[in-house]
Amino acid sequence: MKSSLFLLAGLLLSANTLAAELKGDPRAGKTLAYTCTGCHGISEYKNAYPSYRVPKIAGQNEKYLLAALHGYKKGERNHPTMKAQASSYSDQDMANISAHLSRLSSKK
Amino acid sequence: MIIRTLLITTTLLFTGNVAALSVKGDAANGKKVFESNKDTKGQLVAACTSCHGVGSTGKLPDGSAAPGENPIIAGQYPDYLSKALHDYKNKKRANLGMQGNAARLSDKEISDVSVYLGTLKSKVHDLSEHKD
Repeated sequence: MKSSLFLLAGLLLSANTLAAELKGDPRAGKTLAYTCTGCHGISEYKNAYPSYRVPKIAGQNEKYLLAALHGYKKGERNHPTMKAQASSYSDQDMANISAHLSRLSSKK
Repeated sequence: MIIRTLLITTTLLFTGNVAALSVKGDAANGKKVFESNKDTKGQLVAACTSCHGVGSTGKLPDGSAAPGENPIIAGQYPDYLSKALHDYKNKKRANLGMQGNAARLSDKEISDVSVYLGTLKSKVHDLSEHKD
């Protein structure tokens, strides 16, 4: 019983470590993020239905961006375009994109 | 008949879009909702600031940095925030914590808090400056 608890704790720990070890490369992310500008690069750009402005993602927290992309890929968030985009990315791609976007600062 | 129905439908869709885009709310009340650690029944709850930080400071009420797992919501588009909160409230978006938090908010409070956050300036911005 005790050993299974240890095993569980060990598994949880290694899962966390794995996620933390996947370092994003902002330079590789910049190339991938070109696609993002199609919607997120137009000020006040509206989602067709339901209608709302697509969120500002430049300068957003890296870990949150990564969680959002994984959320779309896993179907925890259901936006068809974002689900399609995220599904085409590897875990490393998503880490790279998040690293790039989070490092952007506005000149305005 | 068909044309009339179509016209009405088009009008409804159009007003629906406009209503969703321009979230109307009371920013001053939204600030209160955002900072309050009590719900409408007076029960103690986690204030929005205890995870997302106070205003656009990026700092929690105790002065420590807001965890990066949580999005920066100050300066985000109000209509997007309102959509996100309604999605949590209707359990269309996964996150047990946020589902519970949003469920405690009335539709008016969601509008108010979204409008308040939209009035703040933060480092989140759109990608229009970064297209090259």
